[in-house]
Amino acid sequence: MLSEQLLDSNKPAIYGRYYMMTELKVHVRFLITISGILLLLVGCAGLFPEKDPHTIKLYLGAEPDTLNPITATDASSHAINLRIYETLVDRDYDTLEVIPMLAERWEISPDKMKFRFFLKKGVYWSDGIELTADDVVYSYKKIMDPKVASAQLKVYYIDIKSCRKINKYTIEFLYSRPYYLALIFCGGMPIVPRHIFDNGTDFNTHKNGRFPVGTGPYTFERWDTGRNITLVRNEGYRGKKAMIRRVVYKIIFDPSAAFQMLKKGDIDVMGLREIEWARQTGSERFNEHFYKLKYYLSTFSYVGWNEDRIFFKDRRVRLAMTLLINRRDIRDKLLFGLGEIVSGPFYIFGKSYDRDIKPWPYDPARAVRLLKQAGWVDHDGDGILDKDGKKFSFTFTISSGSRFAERLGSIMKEDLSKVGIQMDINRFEWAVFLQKIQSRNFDATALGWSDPDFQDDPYQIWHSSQIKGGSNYIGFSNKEADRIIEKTRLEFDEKIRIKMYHRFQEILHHEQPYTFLFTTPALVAVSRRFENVLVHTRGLNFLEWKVRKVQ
Amino acid sequence: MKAGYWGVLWREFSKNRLALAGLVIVISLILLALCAPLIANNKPYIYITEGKVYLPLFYDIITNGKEYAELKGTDLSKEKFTGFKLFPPVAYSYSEYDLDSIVVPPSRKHLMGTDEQGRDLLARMIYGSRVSIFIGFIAVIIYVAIGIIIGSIAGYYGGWIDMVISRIIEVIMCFPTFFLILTILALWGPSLASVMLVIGITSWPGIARIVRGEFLKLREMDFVVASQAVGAADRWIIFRHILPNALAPVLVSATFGIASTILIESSLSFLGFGVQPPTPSWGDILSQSRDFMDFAWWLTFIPGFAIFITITAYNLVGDALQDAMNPKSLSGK
Repeated sequence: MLSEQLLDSNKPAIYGRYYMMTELKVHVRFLITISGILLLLVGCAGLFPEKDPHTIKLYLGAEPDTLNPITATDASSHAINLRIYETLVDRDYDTLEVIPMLAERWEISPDKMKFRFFLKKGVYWSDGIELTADDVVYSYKKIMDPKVASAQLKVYYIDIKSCRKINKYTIEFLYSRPYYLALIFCGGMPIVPRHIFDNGTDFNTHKNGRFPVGTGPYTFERWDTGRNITLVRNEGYRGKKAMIRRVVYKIIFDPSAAFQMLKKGDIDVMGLREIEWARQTGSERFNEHFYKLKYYLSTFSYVGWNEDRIFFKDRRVRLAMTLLINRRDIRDKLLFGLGEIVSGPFYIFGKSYDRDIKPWPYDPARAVRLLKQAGWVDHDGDGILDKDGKKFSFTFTISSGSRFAERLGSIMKEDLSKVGIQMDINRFEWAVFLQKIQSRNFDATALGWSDPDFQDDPYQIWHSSQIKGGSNYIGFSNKEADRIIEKTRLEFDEKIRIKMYHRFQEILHHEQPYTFLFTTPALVAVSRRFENVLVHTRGLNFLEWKVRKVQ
Repeated sequence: MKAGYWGVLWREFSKNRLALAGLVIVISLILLALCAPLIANNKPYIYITEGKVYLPLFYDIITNGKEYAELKGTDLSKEKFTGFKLFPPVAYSYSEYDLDSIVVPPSRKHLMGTDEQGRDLLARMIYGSRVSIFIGFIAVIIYVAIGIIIGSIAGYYGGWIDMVISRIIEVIMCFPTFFLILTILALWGPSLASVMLVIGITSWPGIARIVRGEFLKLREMDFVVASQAVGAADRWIIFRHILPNALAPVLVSATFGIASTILIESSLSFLGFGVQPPTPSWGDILSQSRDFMDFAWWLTFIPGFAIFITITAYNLVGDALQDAMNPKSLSGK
């Protein structure tokens, strides 16, 4: 599932159930509000150095709304819940293969419509009650309950006809039609303890959202609003115990302040921005204290053109816009060469992405020709292109949290004005911005998508059924693309699916509904207090880290 | 020869050296802001080539953004365009980026260095002064106008009208202005106009109170009673007789008001609620530079210092005006 992101590397995901990015990546750059500053002051005053070497201090860029995994929508809570709660299956950190977690095994019917999971015996919630099939069925019912605020999850379970208990340790999901990601979706469903939630109170506001009880390797200890959230190691955990005994998530709204704290040693792990990576962490002292890790996850940034607008209805105009953005220069100089220019939405190092489709070059002369073909010429000699009396003047709507979008916008404005296109930049606070995008009340915008589970299913963003109220807010609609999207969901042969995805990418490349920008690497600094810090396909996993012995 | 009221005021004011310095700074900032496009621009004043004379900068200003057809799309600062060129003292525009010189420290090429897009900081500071000062003046004019009208009505008529207006003033004063502004901007979307308007419509109660107080005092004066006696209209009395006498304290308050408005604008821009990029404002430059604080001192120091100097200058002028108007300081004459 895909989640929407602010452009600066790794920002808040508002939708998307899976946000399996490690906490390191959660790095929400909301604008600092006044309350942010106040909290920061309070936070600084209350700081005390945790001397315990077995404590890891992580950075949260935003306060979670709730720690209820079914109603939570933001990236911060996903990062924390990932340690507290578990799902039926997990995916291998390197191979992405589906592996057992709460379920010890599963059976899939030949028609791929029936999924039967067999739970491990002796899995206990952290309050000592055993986890059973009832918890799983209850969780499914709550997700689908219209009274429960889980809209972002419901979409993914609509194809499930039923979820029933076979016996104490067996559950069966019945699908109404096959889907090649079904196992990952029903196996990845969040599971909550029924004995705690099912007490007659309102599910959405249940107090357990502040005091989560899970089955995972860590249990919840305390939540100091605006300061930190602490987890301790689950001593009764059935699996291999992590070496880190305590996890403190520090809530810091201003990334610049967080970066200073990282340097002081008040934070152990943090995602860096490009300029920090390239210019501010080069000192010997920094490298003595921190590992600098760089790896690619499945994310990309883009400029989206609203196809409802008279300018961007025409494919030639959209292509011209792409040709007018000097992506190579921006990548090399603004991003310090950190990132790859992409030509499609899939994970660039995965099989679905067709590397033979090269990104469009920077070619203003060709862009001008295309604009002319589309009828955009400066007829009245005022320096701005026009067509049928309408001037080529549009607004670039961005979130005020994204510095990168702002820089990109300033550069685009300057370059577009040279060919006679007038562009204004309009910044909005994240919530307002999102509302504008979702109601399709914008001309062009810059955003990013992240697909933390490498699922590659383009349905959510590109299917024409998702234009109204869905994530296809730019209004891309193409019959062949729709057909491919629908067919691939039913296609279990990976080779055929990949072929179809390559064709799909070709269509996008031709149509240019987005100007695809970059996939930028995660840039993470990790304190050298830890050893065995490994980079996996899915990123970092501090469960396996070892604490370096202090001399 | 006897100096009039304003003459006395000036004599008292000019005794204060610091205030004079403040006044000089204020006036030069206003001039700087007014002439920004003439001082910082990437178009030359004059360009002579092959016997033809062009005035690109003036042409641009007069025609509001058009270029000579022959020069369209050319970057005259490039060497290949030979001929006589006379550039403004700062030969960069505020939005012209150069990705090859990102975050360059002050040097002869860029006197104040460059920002994270390679834009000349000096050019941006000069244009930024426009925003600060423009916002300061317009917002203060808006709220002084509102304050004067409401204050004079309350003060002149007194009675229940005064009671109602005074209560309204108290209610509005209770709003924490800065948070109110943040809320309104979040709804409207940030822009220069909304910042000015919001500051304008939320800051008038102070002025209204001062004017009301003056009116309460002045309406009992003989000259007012006299004009009432000869049957002058209320409007005439308010605007011709009382208001001119009530203006002095308003002026002081407005001077401080400009200073605080500039500060509010900077704070709003710092929080990302101010002008829209790439328009520069001092607060915005400061906010953009926060990320590079540890290695690009010029990006934070220069705008910070500029804000400090401007606010201080306005406050010095305001202080001196207040002293000069205080009858106690005139004693001994």
